[in-house]
Amino acid sequence: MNQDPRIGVFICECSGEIGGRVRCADLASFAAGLQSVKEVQTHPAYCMPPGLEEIRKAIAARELDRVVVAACSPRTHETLFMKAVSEANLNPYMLEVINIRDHAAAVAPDEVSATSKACAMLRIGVARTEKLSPLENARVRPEKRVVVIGAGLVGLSTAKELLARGFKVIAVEKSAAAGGMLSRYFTMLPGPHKTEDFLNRLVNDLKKNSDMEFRFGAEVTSLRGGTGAYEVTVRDSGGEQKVSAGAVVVAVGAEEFSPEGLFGFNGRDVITQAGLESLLKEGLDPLKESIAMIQCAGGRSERVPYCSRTCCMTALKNALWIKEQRPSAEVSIIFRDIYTGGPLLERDIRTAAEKGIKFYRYEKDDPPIVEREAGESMFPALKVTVHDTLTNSRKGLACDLVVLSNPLIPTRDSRKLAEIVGLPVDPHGFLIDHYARVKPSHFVAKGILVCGNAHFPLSPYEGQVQAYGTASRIAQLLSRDELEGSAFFSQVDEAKCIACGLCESVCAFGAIKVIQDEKGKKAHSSAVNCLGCGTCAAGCPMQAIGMRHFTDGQISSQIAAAVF
Amino acid sequence: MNRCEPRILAFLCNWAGYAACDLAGTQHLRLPPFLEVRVMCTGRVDPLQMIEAFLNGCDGVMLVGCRKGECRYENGNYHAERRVHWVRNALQYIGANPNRLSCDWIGADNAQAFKSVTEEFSAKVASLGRFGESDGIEKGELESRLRVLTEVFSGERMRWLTGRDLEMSGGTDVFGNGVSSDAFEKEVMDVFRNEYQRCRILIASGDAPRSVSEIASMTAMSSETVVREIVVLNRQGKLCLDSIVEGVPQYRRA
Repeated sequence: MNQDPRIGVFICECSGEIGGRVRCADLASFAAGLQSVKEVQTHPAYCMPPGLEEIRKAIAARELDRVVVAACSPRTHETLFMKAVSEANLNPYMLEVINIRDHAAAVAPDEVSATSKACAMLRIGVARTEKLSPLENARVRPEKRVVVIGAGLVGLSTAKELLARGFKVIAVEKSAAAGGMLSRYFTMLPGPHKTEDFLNRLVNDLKKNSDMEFRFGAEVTSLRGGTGAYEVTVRDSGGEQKVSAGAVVVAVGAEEFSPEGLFGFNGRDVITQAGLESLLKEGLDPLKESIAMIQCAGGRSERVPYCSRTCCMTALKNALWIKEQRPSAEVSIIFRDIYTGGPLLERDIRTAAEKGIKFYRYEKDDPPIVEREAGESMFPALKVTVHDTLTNSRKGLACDLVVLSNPLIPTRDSRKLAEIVGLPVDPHGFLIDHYARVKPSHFVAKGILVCGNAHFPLSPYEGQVQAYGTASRIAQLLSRDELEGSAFFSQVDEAKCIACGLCESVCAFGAIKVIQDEKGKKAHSSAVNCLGCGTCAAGCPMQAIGMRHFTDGQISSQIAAAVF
Repeated sequence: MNRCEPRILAFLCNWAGYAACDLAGTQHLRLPPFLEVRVMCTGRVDPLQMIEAFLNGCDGVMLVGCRKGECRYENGNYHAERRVHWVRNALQYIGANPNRLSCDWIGADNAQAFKSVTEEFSAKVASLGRFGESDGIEKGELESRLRVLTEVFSGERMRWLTGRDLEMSGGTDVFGNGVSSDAFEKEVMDVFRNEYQRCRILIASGDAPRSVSEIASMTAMSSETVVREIVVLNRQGKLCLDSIVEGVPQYRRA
């Protein structure tokens, strides 16, 4: 700054909330005594239009270049005052709001101590304000292309919606074809739609679209940059290639938990629901007349401690399909608790019972036992013994086929992928929201979204709903001409940086990275990805990182002004 | 103006400490007197800033941030906790009571918890009394020891080790060998003591060129130690030979 700061202090009485507890006249004369303060005003409520007008007028009349509002919380009112300040042609960051209402007036035992605390807070606030600099928000022109990792139902659905909104999409699929887990399924939830027809139509539509690109046998190996401007490295048989994208969708799905060692699983006559789907696709062997399904085969156990949500619905769907195709078949569902949440499938339980599907309930500690009948008798070959807690009796079921409803678990490389894209995982390995309770489907970086089974087990219907939501979130972001980030981000002083990489290791958001470029190896901070916490700055061995709006100088001046 | 006793400075994170203090005001809870600095995350608070607050006359310094696992920035509070730990060790080393520095993690919606942590800390610091006097350290001496700490925590060696803390302790070193937290703790404290000596030499030779024996008597170290450390400091470019007066080399801070 060429000239001395000209600070205006505006003391809000907050309609008596402050005025009744702090001697505002004393506070005002205290403020007027501070050297850089050129104007002090008091008003009953600065947050109201007349109050804001007073601030704007004073800025112009007294040629103020920065403002302190001693009022309520910056957490609630800072944006309001920032707007007023910028309307008066001041940079909005040349403002400090200090909360003398909640931190002084309301909590001090008496007027004297409230006033003295307000004075001290004001002195600290003015000291900080003297050191403020005008700031611009980070800006980036977003790339109108999205990389979707995984070409299963959810990835494809996201791609479809993004294409409809005019974005280009690159689908990176690990396997050789689109369709993912669902392509092995005969029908899909919520109703018995034929999966094959549905998927073929979807894939063919996408393949015809010139804005759509498929990379099969490919994986993402690194991700750089920030929201709106990512650089994604894709590796396939032809080597590595870098593509630019405005956003990245992680839709890698999940894997089936292998029930090896449980309930006599052998893949032949003791199979999984997915195995049953393949049998149904080929046409179920007419000799398989008696079928038992065992729920929670691995799920809700020590090994997979959560409910996989979709296995009960899949079992019901398949049991009903078999019963409809072949009414003579005997189908039983042996369950711990039946979960068909939501209005779409609840009725299926009743329908199933009406159609003659038998239900048996077992306790976790007393699971059903699957045994092979001894002797040469061909059919039925299996016997399932279950202690049915509904009737409190032991039942022996002769079966031709036992189907295990096994849970979904995160893909084996979900943790590796999470590291590449910089997202946290839950203890199981599912990629998770940043703040599930407050902001579902918001992830640590705005431009990296997770949907489908990679997030948590979902039915195909729910997966599609999530995919459409994800596409819409991305459209909100990338349809703008320019993305505006925060003004608080880290900045590296390249002259001091020794590229030690400490900042990279402490940053939870991949916002600061050591990069080798033509000028050498230095840490680079991405203004768009940085959330402004300052953890890197406080740790930098060379003190080479500056935090905008929370600079070392500003904090030091506050500490120095905290005179008691 | 009424004096605020004890003199406490609180670094409040915007999302929990500051928010809970806002809420305490809304609920008209009675809070003990303290002054505050608002930061986005307690992870922003540099060990240097904690020491600076003590140098500025604080009797107690506290950090109030988000509960573990709820940090807005994922792990800023974990880093802050470790930094507080090392500064507490440093305070103890210079003969001060480490309880003058604390960190507390509370929910943003828990005004009562904010009241409790500030009241407890305030009572604790009040019972400890005025910083320096009640620690049995004379004011000037306290200040000079704190200045040495500032030097130590400005140095890249301590900053590097304490910065790597979360990663290193209980993890592995660059060779893939396990490092227990105890071993790490011991290692860092060895480095700390060593850095403390060097920084005393630096400060002693900061205002005027000094001979080895002058520095040795100023710092109450043996001449051998001083010479050894001067060699290292010279190699690091932090201390240089100023002149030779009557055959005696005089060193000064670069």
